[in-house]
Amino acid sequence: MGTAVSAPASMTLDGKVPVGPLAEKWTSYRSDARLVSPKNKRQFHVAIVGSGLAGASAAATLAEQGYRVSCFCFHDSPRRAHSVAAQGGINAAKNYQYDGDSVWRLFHDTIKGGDFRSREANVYRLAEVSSQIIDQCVAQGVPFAREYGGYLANRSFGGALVSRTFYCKGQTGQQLLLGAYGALNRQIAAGNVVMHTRHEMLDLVLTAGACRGIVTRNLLTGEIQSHAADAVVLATGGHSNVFYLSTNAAGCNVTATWRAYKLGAAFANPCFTQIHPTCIPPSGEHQAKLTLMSESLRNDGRMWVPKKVGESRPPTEIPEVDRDYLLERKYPAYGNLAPRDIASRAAKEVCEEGRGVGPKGLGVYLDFAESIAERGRAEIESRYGNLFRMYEEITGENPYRVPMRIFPAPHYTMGGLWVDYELMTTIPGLFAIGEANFSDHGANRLGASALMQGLADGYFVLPQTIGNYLSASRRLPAVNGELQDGARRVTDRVGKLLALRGNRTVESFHRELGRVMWQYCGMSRGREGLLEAIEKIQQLREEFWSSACVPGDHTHLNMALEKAGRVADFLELGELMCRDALTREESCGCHLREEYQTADGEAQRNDEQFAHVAAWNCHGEDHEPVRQQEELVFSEVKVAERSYK
Amino acid sequence: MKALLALLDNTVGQKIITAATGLGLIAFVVGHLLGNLQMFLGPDAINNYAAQLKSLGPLLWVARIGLLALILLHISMTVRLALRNRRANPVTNRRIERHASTRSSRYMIISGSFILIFVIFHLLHFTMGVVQPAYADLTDADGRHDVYTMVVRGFQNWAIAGFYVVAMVMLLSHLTHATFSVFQTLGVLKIAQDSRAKTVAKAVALVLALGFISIPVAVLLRLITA
Amino acid sequence: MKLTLHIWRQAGSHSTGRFETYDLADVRPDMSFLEMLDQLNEQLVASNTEPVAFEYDCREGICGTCSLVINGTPHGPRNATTTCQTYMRHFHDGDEIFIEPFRAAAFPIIRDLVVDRSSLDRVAQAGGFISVGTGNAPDANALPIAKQDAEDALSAAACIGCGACVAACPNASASLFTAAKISHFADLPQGGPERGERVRRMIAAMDEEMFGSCTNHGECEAVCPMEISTRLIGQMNREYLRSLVVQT
Repeated sequence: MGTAVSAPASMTLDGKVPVGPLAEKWTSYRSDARLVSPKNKRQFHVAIVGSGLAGASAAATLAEQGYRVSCFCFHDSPRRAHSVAAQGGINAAKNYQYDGDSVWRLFHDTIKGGDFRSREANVYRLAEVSSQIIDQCVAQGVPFAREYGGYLANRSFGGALVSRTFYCKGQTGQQLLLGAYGALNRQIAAGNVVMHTRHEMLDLVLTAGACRGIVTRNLLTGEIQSHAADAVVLATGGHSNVFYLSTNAAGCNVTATWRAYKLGAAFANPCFTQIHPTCIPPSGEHQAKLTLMSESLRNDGRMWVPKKVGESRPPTEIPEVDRDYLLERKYPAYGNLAPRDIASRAAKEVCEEGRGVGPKGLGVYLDFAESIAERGRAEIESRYGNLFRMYEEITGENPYRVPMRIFPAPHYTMGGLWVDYELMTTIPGLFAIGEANFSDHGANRLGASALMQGLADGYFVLPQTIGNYLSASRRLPAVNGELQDGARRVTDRVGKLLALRGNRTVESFHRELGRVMWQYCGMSRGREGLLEAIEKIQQLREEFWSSACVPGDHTHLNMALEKAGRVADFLELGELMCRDALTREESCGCHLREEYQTADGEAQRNDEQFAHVAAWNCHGEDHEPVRQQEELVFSEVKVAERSYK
Repeated sequence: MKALLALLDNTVGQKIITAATGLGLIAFVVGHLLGNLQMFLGPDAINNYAAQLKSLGPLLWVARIGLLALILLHISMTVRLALRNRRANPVTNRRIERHASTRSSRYMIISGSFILIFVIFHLLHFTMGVVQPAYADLTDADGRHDVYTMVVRGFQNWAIAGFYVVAMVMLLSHLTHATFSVFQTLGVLKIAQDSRAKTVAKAVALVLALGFISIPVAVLLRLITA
Repeated sequence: MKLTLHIWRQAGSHSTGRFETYDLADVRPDMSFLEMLDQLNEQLVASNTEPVAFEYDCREGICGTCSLVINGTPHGPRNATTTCQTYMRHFHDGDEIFIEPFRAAAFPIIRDLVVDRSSLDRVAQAGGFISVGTGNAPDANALPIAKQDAEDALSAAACIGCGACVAACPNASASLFTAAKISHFADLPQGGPERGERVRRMIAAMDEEMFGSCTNHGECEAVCPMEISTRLIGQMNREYLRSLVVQT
């Protein structure tokens, strides 16, 4: 396999967007969609993989509607999915603050935030159902913050001009997940959902081109089992862990969506990754994850680095004249509140110049000294007390006295399985929801929109679209042969992994892959680097399959084996991400393509040639993947330059 | 009634019964102490008190049966829960640091068992007169049962007095946990979750125990004499 | 720094376990406790030995997966801190550290330091929800809820379901876990219609799973990473008494 990359192919994808005015598409879709009769619903079995916001809400809702549902997660409990860790909040176009918000404005902010690389109709629908999400969650008992009058409180988040973010202190994700988990539990207790915890999906079962089941491995017993289903829903989250160090949980992986890709599902915009600026910097080799701190810190903290390369004085002794307040200097209008991608890139640049601070120069200061002097320590403590405590717990430094150190880290992947308006992938019967699909965030996601999308997909969109597929799918013949084939493929793969008894740990492969991805396929990329990265990843993959060490056997809990399977998939995904980044010859959203920037270093988008979704198709191990396009048509929004100068 | 029976079905209900009966027993202990302290007022006061109690006749028996029911319920619920708790936490070869529990809370079963043995002894001793029959049936000048002399003579025996003191230390241990714990279990959070109320509850336990201990000690120190 | 680790190793639920001792060098104070164990495991894998099984996921103190008893205390020496947020700077060169799983009859050991906490899920399934189907909800602001009630509900709902309360309890009681869920809904008007039914069913489920009973030791509160108060256990009991008198 060479490193040459095929030119954009002419094949195009059809998002099956309903006709009609943007604001009426979803209503008219629902009026026209085929329905499954109540007594037939019981005959349809839907397998849902993942139990985060999207998976749990979809499983609960489909079960309420009368479908037979099985839900699978690799955790010991559905409540542990990584949605739990979201801190900030969830957006909704309620306009409770009467500050001019509307469905249109939320839609417009989202599509603009995504740098015009998402599908108009999907985003509009997302904004449209956002209100219902809040209603549903409140009815479930999610304890959102409230004003003294007893009505819901909102805050402005991530630079939005309206206050539309609902929140539960710093645990919005957990509380929303517990709401969905409760709804799921109700259906489990009622016998409508069969929950399979500690099961990892390792393959899909296809019959006549349609998805008819999944293959799982029981993580406790090693049992490999096929489960037939009339439709399969992947709600398996994102793949930021390809970078090794990310804000994602250790278990987050790409395996489910990658298996789907290998069997023919198109993988869209794999290179679109969100890098979050306010994470606690790595302190050494041993580090296994980066901890995210709320972006709200930038409301009162000022980002700076020393002007001099090799500055050795402690931060409090560096005088003002020797400090470079990089965001205030470069983006005077937004200053320290410049969007995530801009702040992240600025931080990375100064670190590359050698002006970074902390261990290995990976970090910039976020200084609260001025805010503390102006507003008093008590006020700052009331705003960020818990974050400051967490920071001190992790770093051993007191941010009231010395500036915090922050560094960007991969946080969310906008890319994922390509889905049409109905959230179905290019494999009939296989759906993808939540972060696992590519749908709504384009090239960059707004703060507080991930929770919104996960729940929109799970509660309100998929349950309305899946019937349209199921009602049309005639009862297909039994799939015994295919189920057995799937199980055999998984057994072979597990065997292959366990045969690896080399001298290098899987962890070290993952770490190295992460370094390559971060350096060459992170916030800024260039052609040369990407070509080099593809080659490096290919070598790394070869080395993995010859010299990795996977101890133990498969008949009991073997976390080393689980990890090996996931890293093997990351080693393939990483290459696809680089290929995608290479062929996207423009700077957009979160990413700067080094060849495409203005004279003063600003991102240069290319709407002429790249206002499309790039979706990749796998053509087997021995062939290069093929790039397909879905042209993005903006009928109702005006495509504009993003400028934060 | 159905509601009360429902309490027996689950551990929370059983614990509530334990607490409620415990509260009843605390009330009895308070009353008992107030009666006993009349020892310090001299023979006339205490003998008169005893005679009045006796004169209640059937009512006394109702009270006694009620008390017995409280004790039986308290013990049976506790034993049931304790056996269950032991099954729920069967591992013994573990290291465990204690942060919040106290000796008092951990040794409730031991202190309670000791108190049970004491109560049986106490009944045999002063109520039935089996232990020291020589002092059991004395009468005073007014022909009343001479409780005063019985108690003084009884406690002049070092072994018996010592046993009573040890038992009251056990009572102290039991009540130090119990006096706040009952309110927590019964959901009277104003008391159970208030640190001052907690201190008062512990003080009550201490006062009760010291009150009881004061009698044998006073006898031994010859502050009370026959 | 150098450490001596005594780690509970057990091949499976039915095997007998024992402490194994490992010496670990080059532990840095800015490592998290789990990164320290990662380092041990990487060394074990490199020498083709099976690594120690222990659970973790988010590593930021919210998913509730990590579950180690460190020197006799669930989640280790730091107050209001999960295992994953515990850092090695709180230990010293030459320390001996005992590492055990969260133990209880209701948490059977799966392997090494990994236990099965699905009993907590089953308690939640018995009533830890408000029965409202998707799409049934009225407008979110239709029912004002006092700020204090919402905050009380949130501090109860903050429970991450880690099970440290059970592991710390001398009776292996799940009262704090169960009470937190019951109180969360009891504080909110939406929870009203199912109030009595919920508390009865969840208590029955708790008993069914072979958890012990609460004897008010308070160990649970002392180790709870979310600082959930035993006050809620009192509230659960009150809810239960209420359910015997009031129908809903």
